[in-house]
Amino acid sequence: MTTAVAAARVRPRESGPVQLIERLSGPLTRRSVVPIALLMTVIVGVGDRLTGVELPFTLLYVLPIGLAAWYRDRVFGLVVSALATACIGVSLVNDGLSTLGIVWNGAGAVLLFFAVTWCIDQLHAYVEQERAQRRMAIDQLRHAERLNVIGTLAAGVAHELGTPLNVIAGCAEILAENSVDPVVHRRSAMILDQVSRVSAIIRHLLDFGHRGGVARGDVDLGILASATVEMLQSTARKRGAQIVLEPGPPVHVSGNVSELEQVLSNLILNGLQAMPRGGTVRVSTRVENRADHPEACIVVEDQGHGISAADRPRIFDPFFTTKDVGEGTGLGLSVSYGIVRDHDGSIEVESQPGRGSKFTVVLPLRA
Amino acid sequence: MEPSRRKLVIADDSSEMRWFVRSAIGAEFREVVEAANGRELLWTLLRSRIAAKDLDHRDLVITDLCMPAYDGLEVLDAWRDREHRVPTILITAFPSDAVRQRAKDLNVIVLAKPFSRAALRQALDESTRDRR
Repeated sequence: MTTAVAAARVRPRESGPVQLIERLSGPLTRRSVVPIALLMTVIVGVGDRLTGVELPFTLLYVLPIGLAAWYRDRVFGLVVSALATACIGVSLVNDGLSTLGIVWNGAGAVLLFFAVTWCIDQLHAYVEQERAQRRMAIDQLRHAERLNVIGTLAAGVAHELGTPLNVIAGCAEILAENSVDPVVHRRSAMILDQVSRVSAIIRHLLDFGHRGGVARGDVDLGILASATVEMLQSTARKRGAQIVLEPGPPVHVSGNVSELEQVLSNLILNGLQAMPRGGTVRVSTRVENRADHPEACIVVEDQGHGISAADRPRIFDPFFTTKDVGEGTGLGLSVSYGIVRDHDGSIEVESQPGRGSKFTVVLPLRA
Repeated sequence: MEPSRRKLVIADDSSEMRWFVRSAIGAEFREVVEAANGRELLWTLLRSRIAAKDLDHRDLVITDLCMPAYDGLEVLDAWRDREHRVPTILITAFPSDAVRQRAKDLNVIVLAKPFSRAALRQALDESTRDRR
């Protein structure tokens, strides 16, 4: 399952052991693995000298350990290591080495292999995780920045459009007032209708661009979810779908009820619209342990067509929509993103094309 | 019939918008003055005061928020109609909460664009209601 996360909270870690390991890991995984393997071989070599083995045999360890570490592939490394160890064992037996010497060499090679690959795997995984986190943080920052730019731009455009829209609507009104022709009345009503539609789109866009300053209070996500689900049930039935609210414990956050309700209803409506042939949208609220502390989560899962990998990075962008003309303005998710961002939260998306999507709104619990 | 109200001051940088306002409610006033930017509006308001013909509840000021030179709220703030005697309407495209709050502090009615002629007349009635 692929995951695209658009989280608003960004916690880049800039110092401490992570950076040290990151600084070490570049050369470690590329250039210095073989020298390290050699060093370890020397250590084994000292043991070999003590048990009376010739130096050329010791050098044979370089091959399995070095290769295994180089490729960091357990199966490949294990096979090479086992073969090399067997060769060494056979040659040692032929040379009439003591049992202790054979055991020492065999165990040494195997243990060394596991030790080196384990260490490198651990480091590699750790560094990869940190890198992924940083990449995600940078992506989020870029996304947020792009949204801010779009928000500012939209606000400017919207203000410029206000006057012409007003004049258009005004002229349509005047034409209708001065005419007895029913066609003129009908057409002017159409103009007014379209103007109010454009205004609604602009208002949505401005909602997205200019947030903040709204009253916050204690919100129980469970109650919010049940109210929203109740409200949308008839819409779901009309589409031949159903919304199932999974009962959960009370989850309290600090926020604006109507804004959070807007987020949830946007997500549920998106889920319903993603299922043209019907299905079930599951809604649940819970407290989840994330990173190092518990957070409030609202999960909305649908059985719709999912989000393609190409679309995933853009779903929170204003005006991005895959819906049919007239179905959506492409602002629902970006407005939701803005609201959740204002609540110091994040929206996570998991989607399997053809099977459905899962949106998780993560919010800080009320202190 | 003589119009019941005295002076209408319309400030908007769009001449079409000024025309629209004038066409909607201009007939109810004896005199209509237009201003194309914040500076003109401020001078119109101050000139009335200097000429001892300060505006009162029989007049109406309609101003756009975003205008060249000074914005509508800046002018209203500088004009200092402290007793809030003059009915005033601020028109703006999609007002933010901050604008609404500042307008409320100045006792100014906010009208969001696009508005209909009926909405404008309603705002006019509302703005004159408690100012005597």
